[in-house]
Amino acid sequence: MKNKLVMKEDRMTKIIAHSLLTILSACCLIPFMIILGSSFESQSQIMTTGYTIIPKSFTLDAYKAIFSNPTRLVDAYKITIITSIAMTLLGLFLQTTYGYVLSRRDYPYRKFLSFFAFFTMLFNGGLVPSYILISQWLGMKDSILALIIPGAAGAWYIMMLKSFFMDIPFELIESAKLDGAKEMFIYWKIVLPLSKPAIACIALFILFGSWNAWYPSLLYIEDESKVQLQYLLMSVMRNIEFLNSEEAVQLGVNSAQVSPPTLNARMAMCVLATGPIVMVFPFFQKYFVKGIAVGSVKG
Amino acid sequence: MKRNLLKFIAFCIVMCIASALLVGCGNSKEATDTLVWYMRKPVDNMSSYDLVLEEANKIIEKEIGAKLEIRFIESGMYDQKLNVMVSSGEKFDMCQLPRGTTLVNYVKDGAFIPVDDLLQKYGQDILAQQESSVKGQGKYNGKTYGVEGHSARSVSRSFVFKKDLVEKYGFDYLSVKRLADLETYLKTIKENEPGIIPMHHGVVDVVNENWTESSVKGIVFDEVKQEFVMKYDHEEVVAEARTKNDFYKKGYIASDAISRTDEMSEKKSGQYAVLGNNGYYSEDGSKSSSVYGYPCVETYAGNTRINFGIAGGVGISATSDKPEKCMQLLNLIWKDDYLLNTLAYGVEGVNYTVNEERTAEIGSKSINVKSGSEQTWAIWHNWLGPLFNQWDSSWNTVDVLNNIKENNENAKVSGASGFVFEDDALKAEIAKVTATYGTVSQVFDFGCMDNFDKYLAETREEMKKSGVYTIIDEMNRQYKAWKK
Repeated sequence: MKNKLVMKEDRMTKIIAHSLLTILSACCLIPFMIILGSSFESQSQIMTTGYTIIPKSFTLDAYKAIFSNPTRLVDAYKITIITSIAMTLLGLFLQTTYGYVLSRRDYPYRKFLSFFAFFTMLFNGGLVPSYILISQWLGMKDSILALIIPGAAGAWYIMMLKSFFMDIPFELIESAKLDGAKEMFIYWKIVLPLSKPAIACIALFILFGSWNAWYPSLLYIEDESKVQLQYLLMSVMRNIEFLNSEEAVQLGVNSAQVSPPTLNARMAMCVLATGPIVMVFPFFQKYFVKGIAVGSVKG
Repeated sequence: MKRNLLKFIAFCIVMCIASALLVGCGNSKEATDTLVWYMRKPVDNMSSYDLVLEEANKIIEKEIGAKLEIRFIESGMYDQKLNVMVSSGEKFDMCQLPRGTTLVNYVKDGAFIPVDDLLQKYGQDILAQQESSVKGQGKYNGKTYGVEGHSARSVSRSFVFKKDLVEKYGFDYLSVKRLADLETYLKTIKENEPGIIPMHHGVVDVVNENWTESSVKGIVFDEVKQEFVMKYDHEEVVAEARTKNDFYKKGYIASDAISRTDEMSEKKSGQYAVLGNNGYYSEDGSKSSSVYGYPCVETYAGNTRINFGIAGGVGISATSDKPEKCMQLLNLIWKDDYLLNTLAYGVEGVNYTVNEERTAEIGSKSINVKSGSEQTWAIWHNWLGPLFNQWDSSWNTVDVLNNIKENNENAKVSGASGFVFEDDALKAEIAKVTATYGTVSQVFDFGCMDNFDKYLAETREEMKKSGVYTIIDEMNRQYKAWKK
């Protein structure tokens, strides 16, 4: 009897949870499906009936138009892939090492370095000083380095990693030391493998963050073959806004000569820009589910 | 322990400097005589850059001993980027100036140098050609901060009709004088043409000759009373919105007009029977036909008043170390038609071909500019300065240019032209009014409210609450002081 009640309650919770989650994921999915559907719709159809999930007149025109002159898209792809991967690797290296030393109670400069990172979470120089630093003092203007280095280490992730590493029993490290392991060996062979879930999680955050970044391109890049993918999308949208603005009329922009991408082409660009990163997700997923398992201390 | 810490800090600093040096070495070599000019990117594909600049620099180097480097920024990103560049004191020579209050703020920060002396010294060709409504105008605290180019100062408005439909229903489009005159035609279209939306919401009523927009959104200058008033207190504005609302209720304006934000694509789509024009009116409808891409006819509605705020155009940066060269370059562009048109149209053979026949016919150079996917270069002439010195082409024929010139000369000048509102003390109110105006203006522009009078009364109340009348009082006070 009792058991049945529990089961019933269990089922109720499940139903509620599942339906809530279904609604939530629908909310996330539907806009994307509209984008996907509209990218296969013809321009005139969108003009008359608006955006749809299931295209009434299926056409590949938008994709053909984009791939007829794909230089910019391909360039942007290259840059985004390079910066994302470089930033993930560099970011992981810097942040795990930084986080690891902070987690070691026997490290003498721990307090100072913790404060050093923590301080940047409370105060930062702001836009203009960072721009001066990066573009003028470090001379990274118009260089792909400006898209990678400034965002490679963040205090937030360092703190997260630190608290994760703190959970690794110090006895493990100590026993490794007793067996004659060097610090690098301990970090590389013991600490890192034990922290896979946390590292995967943070790697994904960095990867998504740099894949979706457009602001660094706006600030530091002038050569259009070096801009990131999201900047390309952003500029397309902003340019459309600009073309319709009063200022454009005042400036006498020759509207006959300028044709913004058609409605379906915009959607197609959106699909092309999001596509690959969606594929990445499943590879990381198992680490999210796996959870944390540190049970290797021998009594 | 302490020594170790010091060592560590020293190490960090050395690393920082070393990395700075390493990266810095890469691209700091810049020729001393290069003039860097920032502007918006006119068209997407500018792949003829090297060719055009090489051709132009042949002339520029010979005449003024400097080289020009143009750097393009995506139009939509321009303001933001310029802001950061100026704030950080980055070194550049010239740039396209923003308009209105944005420029005033830059000027207050000392971002651009006054050009009056330089103009007198090196810019005689510019002064000789600037329009009379511009010369000596647009000063801020008695100084000019930009070299203002030619432009269509007064926008001519017209009703644009899709030609095939007008012909099909035999509508006497030339008889249209006001928005209300369109009603019968719109009704016919609504009943007989299911795939066509009768009217685009951008069509304006008889031109606003009696009021002019001010620098604050939601406040207009009443040309008759010679004072600033709230936009929706002006009876002509209200009357136009009322007519539109009537059309909207009758279904002549798309019911989802407010969500059709990409105006240019909408107009180019060819699904409207009546539209407003973009830029200026041409009697035979050629301008609208070329902009929208299908045959159109137009009926002239009127001209807006010339309202000249602070002079914009091309500015010389306060961080430039060779402002004289900049002015010499600008003067050269105004003097040398070949240089101007090379910078604007590109290189002969690659970006355009000469149209011999028409050249002979009109007695001055006429060219065919490559367009569509073949177009690999363009800078609009008025961004460089002298619009009226352009060669006849599909961009603008000589007739259109003469038309603009004539328009500029004949147009009435707004009573508030040249007045710059000092809004420092009222920033909070202006932000509130701008926000309120932002929420209501589209509803008025599209006429899509359920109950016009109720909405109007509510709007007036909202605007009043936002403090619009405080701003208006201050504006009128400053205006009277300025007028004296």
